Amino acid sequence: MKKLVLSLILVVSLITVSMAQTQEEISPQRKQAIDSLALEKVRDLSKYISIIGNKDTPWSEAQRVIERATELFMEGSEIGVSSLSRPDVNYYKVREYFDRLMQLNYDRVNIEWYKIQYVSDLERQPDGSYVGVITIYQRFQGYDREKGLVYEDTTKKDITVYVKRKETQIGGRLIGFWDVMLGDIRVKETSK
Amino acid sequence: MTMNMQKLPTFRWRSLLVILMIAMIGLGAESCKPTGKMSRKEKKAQIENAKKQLRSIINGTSTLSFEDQERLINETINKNFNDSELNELLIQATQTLKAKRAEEEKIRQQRIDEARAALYDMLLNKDNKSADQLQRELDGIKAENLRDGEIDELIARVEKKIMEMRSFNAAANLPLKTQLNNAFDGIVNAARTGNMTQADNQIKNALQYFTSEDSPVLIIISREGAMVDYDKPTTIRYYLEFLKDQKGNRNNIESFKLDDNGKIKELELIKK
Repeated sequence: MKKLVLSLILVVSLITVSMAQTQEEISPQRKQAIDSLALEKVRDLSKYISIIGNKDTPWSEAQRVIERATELFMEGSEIGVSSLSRPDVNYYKVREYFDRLMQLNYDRVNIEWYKIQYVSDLERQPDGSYVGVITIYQRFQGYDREKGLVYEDTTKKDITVYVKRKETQIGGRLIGFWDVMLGDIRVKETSK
Repeated sequence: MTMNMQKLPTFRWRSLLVILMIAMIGLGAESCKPTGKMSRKEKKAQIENAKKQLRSIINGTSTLSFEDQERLINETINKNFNDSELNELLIQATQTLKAKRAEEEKIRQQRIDEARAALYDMLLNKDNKSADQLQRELDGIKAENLRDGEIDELIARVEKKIMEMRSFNAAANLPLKTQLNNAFDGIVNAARTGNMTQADNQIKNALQYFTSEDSPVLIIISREGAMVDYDKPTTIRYYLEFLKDQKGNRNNIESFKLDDNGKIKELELIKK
């Protein structure tokens, strides 16, 4: 029995050491750089959303920006849409969300994201990737040419962020990079 | 004697006085006549002088300018000397000047044609001449003072081209890194002012520094010793469009690799 316990302890120790070796620890500076990178991607998305929603953006230009914005997301991600006029939240695939955003039935649209910050820090996952949640506040204003401002709301949204280290060959050398992918954007609250 | 004079009858003195007065009035009136009225002698001299000058015009030895020759002929015609030989010379001189004027106009037209062709060549600059070379050629054409609307317009266009070449060359003399930074700033500034057409033009210009619009762009987010972390690699076109969309540049140029043509085949940036 004693031998069995010792053997188990040895096996568990070996497995732990092995896992520690495979999961490369990163320094606080590197972690901070990754945190910042993920926040930047969300800020980039906020600019893209402003451009897509802007009625002055030419159709072809909006399509190009939709492509860039869609590339920020993981395949199959969804974005929530809420309204003060209904209690439920509708979720759309990313591409569909952008298409609908471009076609909103207002003469002018202002979309502004602010208070972009981590609500849940990037945490290392068993596979070596990092997952966190960034919260944003979105100010939406819809204008009618004659009536002026006809709708506005403020929505708090949570964005799940996935960061994974990958490698690629460029110019004959191996480049290690951090791939930041955005997941679902879930509506947390909507107010006037 | 005095006695004799005193004995002269009084009416004779009066007659003499009247005659003298009439004579003086007559002389005075003569002297007030316009000086333009020449004597026969003067007229003859003028006719001879005019003939001499007209002959020099006809045989092409006149030292007067073309305009002065025309003026001389017109003045001579206006004086209306009524001299048959002079009139014949006037006709010949007028025809000579007319022929000369036509010849000059023909030459001028040829020069305009040549200048037009030269100016168009300068605009195209197929021979890849420098701004200084073009300026020298342009100065030569301007010195001819061809007074032609089309030529003046072409001259203005070439002057603008030379100015642009000088401006571009000034930029081209900067280190490539500075040129690139200026190009990036140009895109961002154009986008910030809402001038998207200008931003697109700046992107088009900036792409000329690169091997292709797919040239890779690497962005360093962290570096610790030999360990370098990058953002997801992108292409130069996407990066330039990204600058326009985000209206900001948060990276510095770290390094670049050039191809055999001196164009950038790989760009490495680093977070500011």
